[in-house]
Amino acid sequence: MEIMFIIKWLCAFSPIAVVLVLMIGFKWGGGRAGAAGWFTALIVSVIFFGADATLLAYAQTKGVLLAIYVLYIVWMALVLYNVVQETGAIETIGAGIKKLTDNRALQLLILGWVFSSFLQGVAGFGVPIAVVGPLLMGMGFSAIVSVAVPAIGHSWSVTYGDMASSFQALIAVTGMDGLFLAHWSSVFLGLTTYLCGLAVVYLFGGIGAIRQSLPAIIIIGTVMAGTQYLLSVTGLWTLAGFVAGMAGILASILVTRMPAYRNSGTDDAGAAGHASQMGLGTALSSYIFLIIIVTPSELYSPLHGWLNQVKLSLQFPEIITAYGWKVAAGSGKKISIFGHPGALLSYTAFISYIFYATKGYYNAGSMKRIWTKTLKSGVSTSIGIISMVCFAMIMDQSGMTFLLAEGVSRLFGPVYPLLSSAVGTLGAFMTGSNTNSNVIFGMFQKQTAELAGLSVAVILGAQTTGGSIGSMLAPAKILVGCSTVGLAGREGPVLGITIKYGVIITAIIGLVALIVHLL
Amino acid sequence: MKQFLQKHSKGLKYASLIAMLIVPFLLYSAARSDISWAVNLLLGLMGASMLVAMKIG
Repeated sequence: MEIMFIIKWLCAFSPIAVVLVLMIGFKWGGGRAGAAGWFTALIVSVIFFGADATLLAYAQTKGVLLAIYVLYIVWMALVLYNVVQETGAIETIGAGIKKLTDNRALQLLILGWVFSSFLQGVAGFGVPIAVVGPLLMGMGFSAIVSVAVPAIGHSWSVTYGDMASSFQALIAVTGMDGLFLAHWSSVFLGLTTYLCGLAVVYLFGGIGAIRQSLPAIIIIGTVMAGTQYLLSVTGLWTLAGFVAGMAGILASILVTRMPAYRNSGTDDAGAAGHASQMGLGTALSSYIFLIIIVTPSELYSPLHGWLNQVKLSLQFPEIITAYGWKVAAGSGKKISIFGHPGALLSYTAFISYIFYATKGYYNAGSMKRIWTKTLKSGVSTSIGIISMVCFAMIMDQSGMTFLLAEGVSRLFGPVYPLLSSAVGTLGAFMTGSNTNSNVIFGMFQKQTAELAGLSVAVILGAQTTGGSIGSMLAPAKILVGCSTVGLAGREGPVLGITIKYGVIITAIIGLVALIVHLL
Repeated sequence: MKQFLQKHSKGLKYASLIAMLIVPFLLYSAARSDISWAVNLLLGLMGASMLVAMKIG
C-alpha cells in the first residue's frame, strides 16, 4: 500500500519534474516546457488517476478561464508600459533619480531597489532589469553588479507588481479571498523588502556600506513595505506594487535631503539631462492616471458595481474520476469585462496615449511600434502561462495535486512552513514567473496546509513571497538583463550571485513562517 | 519539417496561441452536449497546439 502510494506520488510529481528538468537542465523556455508538462500531466492523469476525456475537457476550459484572467492584466500592462516607454518617460524618470545624490550606495539603492520596484509595479516581465541594468552601467557600476542589483532589488515587489497579477493568480487558483491572503503575504513581502535593500548594498560594499546606508534602507523600506501592506489589506492590492514603488521614490527624494546623503554638487548631473526634454511630472502622469482610475473603481461601490455588471462565467457539473476522485460542481473563474484590473489598465493606456499625443511626444509610426513591442513580449508569455495553467489544472482536477500535498504533509507535518517559501522560490526559478509558481504550487500548498493542520494564509503568504524572491534567480530574467549590458553568454556569474542571496532570503522567510506557526 | 517550422515559426506561434484560447471553449460546449467524438477531436487539436508550442516555444 505504502509502495503504491510512493509510486503514485512520483507519477503525480512527474509533470513538475519534466518542467524542471527541461527549463533548468535543457534551458527550454516557459512555453515549450509548459507544453511538455501538459502532455505528461495528460498521460499520467489518464493512466494512473482515472481521468476521462470529459474531465480533461472541463480542466482545459477552467484552465483557460484562469489564464485569460491573468493574461488580461499582462497584455494591458504591456500596452500601458509601451505607451509610456515610447515617449521616453521611463528614461526621464531614471535620469531624474540619478541626479538626486552622488552617494554611490544610495544611487544603487534608489535605482536598483526603489526604481526597479516601481518598474515592476507598472510592467514586470524582466523590464526592471532590462531598464535599470544599462542605467547603472552608464553610471560606472560593473556589468555584473548592474544586472544582479536590479534582479535582487525588485524581487520583493513582484507579487503585487504588474497590477498584482501574481497575487490575482494565487486568489484565482486557490479560490481564497484576497483579503484573507493579503495580511501574511504583505508581512512576508514587507520583510523581504528590507532584506532585498540590505542585499543590494552588501553586494556593492559589504558591511561598511550597510552601516552607511542603514538609515536610508530603514526609512525607504518602511515607506514601501508599509504602503504595500496598507493598500493590500484594504483590498487595493492591484495598486499595492506600483504605489509602494512611487512612495519609495518620494521617500528616496526626502532621504537624499538628509545631511548624510546630501548631494555635494560634484555629480555628473549633466549626464542625466540628455534623456528627454520631458518634465518628471509629465513622465509620471500615466501612473497618476492609473491611481485616479483604479482607486474609485475599486473603492467606490456604485462605480465598482456598475463596472462589474458584465461577467464572463461558465458553470461546470460534478465530475468523478474512474478512481473515485470527485470534483465538485461550480462556476469557473469569473471575468469582469469592464471592471477587471486589465480593463482599468486599458482605460489608463488609452487616456495616456491621448495625453502624450496631444503634447506631441510621439513620432510617426509610434502606434505601430507600441503594438509590435506588445505583441513581441506578449505572445510567448501568453503561451507559457496558458500551457502552465492548463497542466496545473489537469493535475488539480484529477487529484494529482492533492496526492502530492498528502505525501508532503505526511513526510514533513508541522515543520512544513520551513519549506513553504522554498516551494514558491523553486516554482519561480523553474518557470521564470511568480504567477506561474502560484498557479502550479498554490493549490498544492493550500492542500498541504489543510492536511497538516497549518494556517493556509501563512503558507500561501510564504508561497507567493518565495515566488517573488524566486524571480531574482529565474534564468529567463537574468538572460534578459545580461543581454542589455553586453553580458550575453556570460550569465553564470550573475546567476551565482542572485542564487546566493535568493537562497538566504528564502530561508529567512521559511524560518519566520515556521516561527509564526509555532507561536 | 524542421525547415517548415523555422520558416513559419511566427505564424505558427500566433496560430497556436489562438487555438489554445479558443479550443477549450469548444471543448466545454462539446462536453456539455455529451458529444464524445467532438471532445476527443478537440482534445487532439489542443494537443496539436501544445505540440507546436513545444516545438517552437
